[in-house]
Amino acid sequence: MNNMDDLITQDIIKKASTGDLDAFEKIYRYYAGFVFNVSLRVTNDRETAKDVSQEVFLTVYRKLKNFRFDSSFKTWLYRIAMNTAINTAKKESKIKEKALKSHIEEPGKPWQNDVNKHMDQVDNEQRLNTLLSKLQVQERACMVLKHIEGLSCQDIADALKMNVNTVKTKLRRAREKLMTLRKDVVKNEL
Amino acid sequence: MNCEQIQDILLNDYLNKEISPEQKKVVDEHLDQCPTCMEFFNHATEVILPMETAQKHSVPDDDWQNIKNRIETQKEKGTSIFHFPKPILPLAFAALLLISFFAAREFAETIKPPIVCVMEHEDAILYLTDEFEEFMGTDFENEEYFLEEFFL
Ligand SMILES: [Zn+2]
Repeated sequence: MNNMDDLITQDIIKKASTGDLDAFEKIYRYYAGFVFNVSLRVTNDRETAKDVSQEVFLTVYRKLKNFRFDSSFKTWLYRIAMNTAINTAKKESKIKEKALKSHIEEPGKPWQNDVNKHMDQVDNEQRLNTLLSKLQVQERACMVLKHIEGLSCQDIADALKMNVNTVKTKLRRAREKLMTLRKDVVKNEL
Repeated sequence: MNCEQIQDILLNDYLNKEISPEQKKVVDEHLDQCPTCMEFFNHATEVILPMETAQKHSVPDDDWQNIKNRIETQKEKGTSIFHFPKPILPLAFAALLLISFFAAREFAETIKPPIVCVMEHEDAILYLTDEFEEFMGTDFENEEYFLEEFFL
């Protein structure tokens, strides 16, 4: 199979797998943007995303010697990235849940504050963070890959090691969830 | 097609942008003359728009330097220098077969199994996990979310 990306040749991958840092840097430069942005959206936290990004490339470097050329390098790397980001996000959300439980539910949760009072003023970034935070981690990962990174459902399925129909179900559920939330907020406003 | 069917397509293939031109035409024509579905569509687009227009963040400047430093530190510790040849598992298996063969032949004799190879602990685990993953078609690092898929 020849799924190799134009810029990251088999030769570069082979060199990097023997520990050649210059070759590895080429791989890094090519994928760093994707890895960092996806980590940022899935974990919803810049510092965590930095850690995830580093972890991803260290794992890639460590596992490169076991990479087989019978599958696409891009898919292989995406898989490591999504895996690391999702698992980190899950751990983080467990920590946050604990922290929330120790507090009594405050009347003004960030989502309602944002949306009720200044939905129109909050910038896109903040709105995006709020929307993504309402989704379950895997739904979030699907939505990020679909609507921010523009991947096809099949590519998302490959990156998440899921069935393509599961991906479609998650995307649909995520959209419905966000639409319902938005509706509730509008109702509250009236 | 009725409104329910149209909204179903909207939530799936249409917003996935994985729709045939013929089907898209049907949906678009329906949207043009049905305010209910149009409202539904606008509502759906509204929650997706912040994602579609999300700005791309640039990678932190020190990212590569940090990664490089950590690789070099690991190398100094000697955890990843040792390059392990791929066919070691079949080799080990073959060796094991040979041992069993001789063990069977020289039944009474005590046999000390030869040390096939010495490998860094981490590398050995990594290698065997990868081999097994390949064999089973499973990714162990995915285990956690696969379990959730099934049980939650
Ligand atoms: Zn309609």
